[in-house]
Amino acid sequence: MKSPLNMGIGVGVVILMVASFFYKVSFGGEFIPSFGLWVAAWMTLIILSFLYKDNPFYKAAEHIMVGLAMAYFAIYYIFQVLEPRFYNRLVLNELQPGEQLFGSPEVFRWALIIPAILGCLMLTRIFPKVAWMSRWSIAATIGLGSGLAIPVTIQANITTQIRAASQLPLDYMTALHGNAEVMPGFTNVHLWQIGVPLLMIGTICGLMYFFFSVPHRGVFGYAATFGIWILMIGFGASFGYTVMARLSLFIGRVLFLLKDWLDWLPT
Amino acid sequence: MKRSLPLAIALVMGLLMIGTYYFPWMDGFYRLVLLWSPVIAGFAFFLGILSFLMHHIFKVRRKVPGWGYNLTAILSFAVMLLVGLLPEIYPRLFGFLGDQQADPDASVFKWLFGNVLVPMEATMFALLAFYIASASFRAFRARNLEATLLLAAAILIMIGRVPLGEWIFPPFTDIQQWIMEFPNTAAKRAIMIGVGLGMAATALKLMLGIERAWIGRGD
Amino acid sequence: MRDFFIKLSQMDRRWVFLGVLVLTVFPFFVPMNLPIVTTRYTQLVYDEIDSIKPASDPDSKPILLSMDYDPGTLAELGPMAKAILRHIFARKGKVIVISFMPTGSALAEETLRSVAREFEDQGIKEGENFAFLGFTTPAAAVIQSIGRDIRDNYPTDTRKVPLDDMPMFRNVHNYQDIHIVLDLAGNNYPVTWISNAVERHKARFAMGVTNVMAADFTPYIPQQSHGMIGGLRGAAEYEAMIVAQGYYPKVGDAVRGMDSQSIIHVFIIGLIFLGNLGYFLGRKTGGGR
Repeated sequence: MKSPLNMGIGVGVVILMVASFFYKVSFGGEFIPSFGLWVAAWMTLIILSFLYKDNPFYKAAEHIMVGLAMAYFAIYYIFQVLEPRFYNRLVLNELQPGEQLFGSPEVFRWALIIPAILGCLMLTRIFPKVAWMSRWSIAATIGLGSGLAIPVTIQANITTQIRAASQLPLDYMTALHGNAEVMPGFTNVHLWQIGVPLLMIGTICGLMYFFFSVPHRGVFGYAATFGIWILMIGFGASFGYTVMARLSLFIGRVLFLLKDWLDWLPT
Repeated sequence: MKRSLPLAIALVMGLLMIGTYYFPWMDGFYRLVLLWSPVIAGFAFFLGILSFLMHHIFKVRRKVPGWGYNLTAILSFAVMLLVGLLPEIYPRLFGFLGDQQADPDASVFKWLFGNVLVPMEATMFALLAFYIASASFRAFRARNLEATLLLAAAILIMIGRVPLGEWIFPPFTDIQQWIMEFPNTAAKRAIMIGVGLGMAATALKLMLGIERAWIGRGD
Repeated sequence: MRDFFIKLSQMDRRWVFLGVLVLTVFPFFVPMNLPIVTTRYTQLVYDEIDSIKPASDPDSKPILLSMDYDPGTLAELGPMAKAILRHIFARKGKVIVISFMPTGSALAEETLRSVAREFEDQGIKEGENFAFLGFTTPAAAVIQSIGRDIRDNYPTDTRKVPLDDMPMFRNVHNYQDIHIVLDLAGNNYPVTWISNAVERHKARFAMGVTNVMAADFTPYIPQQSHGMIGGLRGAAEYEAMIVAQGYYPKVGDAVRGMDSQSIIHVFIIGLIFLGNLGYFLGRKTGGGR
């Protein structure tokens, strides 16, 4: 592909975009929804054209997407994050009740300067001579992230999961001896009766597989082998669901084209 | 100084954050720090925008093949940024572009978002449908027992979770729900506990300075 | 025979693409109208939402709906959000909508307002039945702060109307005053909700997720999450249920997409079989790859 041609197409698309919304602004009213729909439909088709072959339209669309997304996030960040969270608190002094440090809202307010300093230090990365200063802000971020992650992952991933797993045998026994319908919605009770022990044993064996420090031999070896089977079924389930999800996304686009744009389907 | 101070900062910050989880009286600090993180992230994001612009401007100036695309990226960035910023900063002058907060339907910013960005992003992800179909033909082979178990579970899920599967053989629905609730939950719970331990260990290593690749080389 | 399979495995992948395209488009014109069975996880969420009281009841509690999806997962979670909002509005309930995704917030507002418009003649009003509080970040902090008081992080809605000026926020302060938190997400936000709202503030919680995430979140059910709506299929179940219960006259996009989903799944299973057949035939004759 020759460069001037690419440039022509790219600039052409941008001009179309610019023209389209000035058109929209000056005409207003009823015309807009259908015009927007046409733009949206064309964008969809251009991206889909990549399946046949890479082409200048796709490339231009890809670059437009990156540019728009960058600017969109920037705008959102400025008006929805920096303005209310930072500017309003530090400059306009609009603190929420309870926001105080060492019993003083003023300390809380001025402590907000620290992230601004850390943020500026991060920008030193552009200048190789002082780039090492950016380590301070990275260190603060890593410390904060790690400190936040430790208790939360221990609680959400470990304690609650072990608690849930250890409660299962109890629930199971109660359900077997009582007449309680523990798992409504299963038309087949036997599936449930086989399932719960499998869930218990499977979790333990799956964990055993992860213990690399113990050699996988003997009884431990059998358990670990069973564990990997269970893990494989789990991965299979994830895979099946992922296939489903990806297809759903395409179905969504087809529905948009057929129903919203072309209006070929009965509503 | 250049190496040990960052390590100390990471450790102190980490300990303070762990403290906020267990001690309610540190709530003020917790709320402060959670206001910090978006601000720091904002600067990191600004750094990202700078490098994005520098990358594309460099290509345009050098006129490398395909530089028209780079110009497209810069232009679309500029257009979107201006229609977002101007009406907010100079409402009187640029009010005709629409206030995206007050009246989303009449704002150019939201119009570009809804009719250009949304369909493009949605379609990008939709492309994956085709690649996963092609991959299932080329890559998924029942080479051994483990792979066979994976494939069998995937196929049972795929057929059990669509109305056609239920229509062909009604128990398919129960079977897929059973796989989901029992073997899958067992596997995912084991992974969750394993990953949880791993994550906590990594976080601890980062905090204590045992893992220090992030500092980089040099002094 | 063997040569045929080797040739087949070497064919241009664009033939597979064409197959996907045709088999996705075609079923829309020849609807099969197959019944959609409700699975247990979806039923759990449905029952939770079905138990809300109308806004006129003094004991009525709002649902907190967090719409954390972006354009990339809109196809799965958009129909889900619509079905849930229709259910809530048909029951004359109250819903507070928030979002932690910058791109999701715009989609959420559009969805909320378009569904609310459908129910306008049934007396569904902003401030009484629904409120849009918009985008905020960071998620963990905001979720925590709702445990103290929702006003801490959301003094006003996106129209800058103070929460105290809206009747639906009377006596609504923290998770104890919220019927259930429902997170519609195409990412890891349900875990953020579970560790910050469920574990620390004993919030009641349920989720609607994309199918990519669904299989990973089952260990949270039922202890931490009261059910889960998974992907387009879950949305189709929900649509079918609200129609069956008489809450809404017609099914939506999710049910409509199920025919294509059915056919394409059969196609993909067929591809897996074909691919494996080629693989085994190639192996048996000693050749192949």
